[in-house]
Amino acid sequence: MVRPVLLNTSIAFVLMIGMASCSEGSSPTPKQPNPAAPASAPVPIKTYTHKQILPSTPITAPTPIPITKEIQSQKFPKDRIVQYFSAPSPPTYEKLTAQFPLTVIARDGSEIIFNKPPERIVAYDAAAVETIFAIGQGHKIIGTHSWVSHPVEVENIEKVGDAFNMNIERILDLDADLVFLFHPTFKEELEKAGLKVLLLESVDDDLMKMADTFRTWGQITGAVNEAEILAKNFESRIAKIKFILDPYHSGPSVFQDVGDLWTPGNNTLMGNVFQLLKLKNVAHDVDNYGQLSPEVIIDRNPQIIISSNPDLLYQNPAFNKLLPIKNKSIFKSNDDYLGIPGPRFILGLEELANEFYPGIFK
Amino acid sequence: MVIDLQNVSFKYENVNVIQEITAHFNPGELVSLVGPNGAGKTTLLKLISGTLKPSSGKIYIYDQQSHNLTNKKRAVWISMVPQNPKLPDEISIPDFVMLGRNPHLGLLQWESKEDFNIARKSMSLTEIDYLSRRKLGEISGGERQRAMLALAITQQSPIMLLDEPTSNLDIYHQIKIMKLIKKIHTLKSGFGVTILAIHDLNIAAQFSDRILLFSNGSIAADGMPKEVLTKNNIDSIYGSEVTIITHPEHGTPVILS
Amino acid sequence: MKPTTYTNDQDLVLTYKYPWNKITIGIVIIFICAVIGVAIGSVYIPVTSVFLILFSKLNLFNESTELTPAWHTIIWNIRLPRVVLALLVGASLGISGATYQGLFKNPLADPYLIGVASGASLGATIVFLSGIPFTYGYFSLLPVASFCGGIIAVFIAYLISIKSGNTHLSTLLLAGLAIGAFATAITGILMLRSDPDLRPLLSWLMGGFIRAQWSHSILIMPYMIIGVSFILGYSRILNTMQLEGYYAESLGVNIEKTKRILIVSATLVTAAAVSFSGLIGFVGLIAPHIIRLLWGTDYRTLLPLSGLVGAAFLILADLAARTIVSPIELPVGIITALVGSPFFVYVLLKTKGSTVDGY
Repeated sequence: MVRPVLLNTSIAFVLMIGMASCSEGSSPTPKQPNPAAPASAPVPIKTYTHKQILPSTPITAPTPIPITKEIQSQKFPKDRIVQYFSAPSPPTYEKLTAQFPLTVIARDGSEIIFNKPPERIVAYDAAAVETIFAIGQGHKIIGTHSWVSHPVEVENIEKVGDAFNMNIERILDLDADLVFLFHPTFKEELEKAGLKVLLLESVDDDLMKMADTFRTWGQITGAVNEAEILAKNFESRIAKIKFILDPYHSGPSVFQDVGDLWTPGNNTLMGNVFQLLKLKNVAHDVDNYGQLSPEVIIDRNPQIIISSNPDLLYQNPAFNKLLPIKNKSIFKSNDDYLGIPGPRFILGLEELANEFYPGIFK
Repeated sequence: MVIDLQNVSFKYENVNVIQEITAHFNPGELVSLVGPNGAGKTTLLKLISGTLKPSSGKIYIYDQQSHNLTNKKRAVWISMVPQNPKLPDEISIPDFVMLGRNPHLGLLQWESKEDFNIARKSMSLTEIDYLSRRKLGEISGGERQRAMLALAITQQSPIMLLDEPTSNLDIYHQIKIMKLIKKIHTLKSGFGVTILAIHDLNIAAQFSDRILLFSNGSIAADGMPKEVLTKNNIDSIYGSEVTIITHPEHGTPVILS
Repeated sequence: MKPTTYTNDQDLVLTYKYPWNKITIGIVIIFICAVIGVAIGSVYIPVTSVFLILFSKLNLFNESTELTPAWHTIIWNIRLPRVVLALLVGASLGISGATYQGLFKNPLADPYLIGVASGASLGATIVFLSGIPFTYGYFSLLPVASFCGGIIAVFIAYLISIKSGNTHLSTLLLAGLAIGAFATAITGILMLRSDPDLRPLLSWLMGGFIRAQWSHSILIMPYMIIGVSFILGYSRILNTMQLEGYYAESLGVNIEKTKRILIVSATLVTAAAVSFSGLIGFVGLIAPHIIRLLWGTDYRTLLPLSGLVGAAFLILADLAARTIVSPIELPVGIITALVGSPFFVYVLLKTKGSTVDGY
């Protein structure tokens, strides 16, 4: 006799396993927070409106790289570099050359060899898509998943699946020569179908790996210079933040609610962002993601709360006495930036920095 | 007239199980319904008890139309002992017998000392006092039959219907239970109507005042045992070859094969 | 009262005494569990402070102003509402579980048998994934959606069983399973086809009191009071219903009416509980069994005591869920499953096979 409760419990278990495996990171090493120091004068928190950071002067486009295959329905110039960043003056970097054959180490340790840059990429990852466009190689993307929406050129790119379903036949039809995944699902099936699959190590909890990912894409597509610009830009902006925050021992305490009091611990990407910004994560002793007890939240008294659904927190009388609730200053996070470990991530980071250290950054 | 059936028919999936039966039952009668398997005796009992509704015709209980009666009203008047029902194993015998008081209790009303006494008396009448600490699933078939009888008695209803009360019992218990039934009937001082469906002709003959012989959904014969249970009747309806003698003690017919 | 014609070891136990003693013991146990639940948590608060804070509302002591306001908030706005909600939900699940076990005459029935759980999940998932902001000021749409989902699922199952012409409860059971499976499938599809982080939805579905507030208990109360009153009122009839349909009817029971009232009441109570606490399994299954093992199957005892056991069990399960892996919490459904599954297996082995029987 089929038991509805057992059915539900087993489905819940299956989904739990699914959810556990799609959370960030695969057994990362927890980063140690900055050594404890007596809290310096905390930055005063007051109500403010959200400011949008706009890109300013664009970088001049480099010489276009010849492509061998025509891609249909391209409304935009093939080598347009999507501008994300501002730079006061064109930086001078050593001109790099792409090196082939190229060996890339995948997440499982296997070696993926590229003899030449791939021309027809299925980039099944929002961060990868944005990165590839940012280095001027967006025209090589022939397929992605339905939850990618940036940059605007993605409208014309065929969607070959959604979060957990992939149309492998269609990918074969499109004659892809590289499939990039962010999740091991379907890797086996794709490889069995004869496709070249790349599953890179995820950025996890080390922010700086993001720059390396940009560089890797440069090497794969041959656009090493553009990638180096992107990477160095990222690194320099991070360095700038570090520099500006250097004199401070620590900033305000923060609690991020991604829903139902689920919160990132220190060994997550967001946890690292907090550490970079010297914000004391109230959930510092949480491993990966966890549902933080409301008692602990009250006891640890965060001065900043980041939430995607602030109303739920505002209407709970238990949190009435917390500072962000009293000031109605819960920061509504923009998942587009900080949710995608790609070129726009730094925007989100700077947004936070500006938000929580008003007046110190720019 | 306690029970009045007028042209009652019952169809089950287009088969006429009961065909236009008209019969009356008067106070004080202990009636046996006999006949071959499938002749309709159990069906008639269920029609009287209200479990089944007639396809056509009318049934009157104490001059009221049966289908107008609420379950509760009917339960106050009619009790029944079904054949081999599925019984909950875990219930204790006294609790089981006490269920017979249900028709007399309101929704939120619970049993009183009065009810307790009635149940106790039923248990002593059916001689199952020694089972007072046992559970329904633990006792033998004969004891279970007596427990069901005790439940029916506890209902204190004038009409009692019994479906094959002697099947699955050995000869000793068959006689015992029939004697009990007769005793209970007599205790109703001539106001009770007891109707039982039974396939054992000899027992029916020995204990009943009146016998209805069924054949193919109709009543073939109706009257005193020695009037109904003739060789002619039995042979033609059962398709058998029997010999009938008179019981030396009771004077009732005894059917021998 | 001993009959005079029998010896001592045969005294008949025939009259039914309402188990006031047992109920009192149950209430005392719940009270103790509640106190433990309020005194212990992921933030350490010394016991004396706990009591001072509890009594501060009575203005007996003036020291409350010296105590940390954080502790006051924790006791009054987090732990107490949680314990009270766990009490109400546990009682609901216990009583409705016992009711279903009585109706279906099957000791393996639970409150989610005819589709409440799946319907509630679907309702919650739809609201969660639709992007509709599910809070409007102080009003949250999620419990409403899950309540409606649960009721609608059972309603559809009931309609199907009536339409089929066979009002036997096994029809309702099968219809409920079908509707439940369908709802679960739709829920699964919705989840897989969407992008947002599913963690909050999944943890809601697994059941928990992390968001418990006083308003939740207040909102549940009317449904509980109505439902439980009807169920307890019909508790003697439920005893008679343990006989086969026609047999119970011959004793004056109106089977159809009783079935309807009990199913509606039990569903009401369960749907209300689920709408605020998510799906917590095994409480409705275990609580009646514990009482049955101890004190038999008279539903007049079984029903209220199942409620009391369910309440105590869930208070303690919630305590475990929020302290075992401090500072984070586990969904309470996991704790009840961990305790409940072995118990479930034990019952399976002990009972003589699970046949679905009933009206």
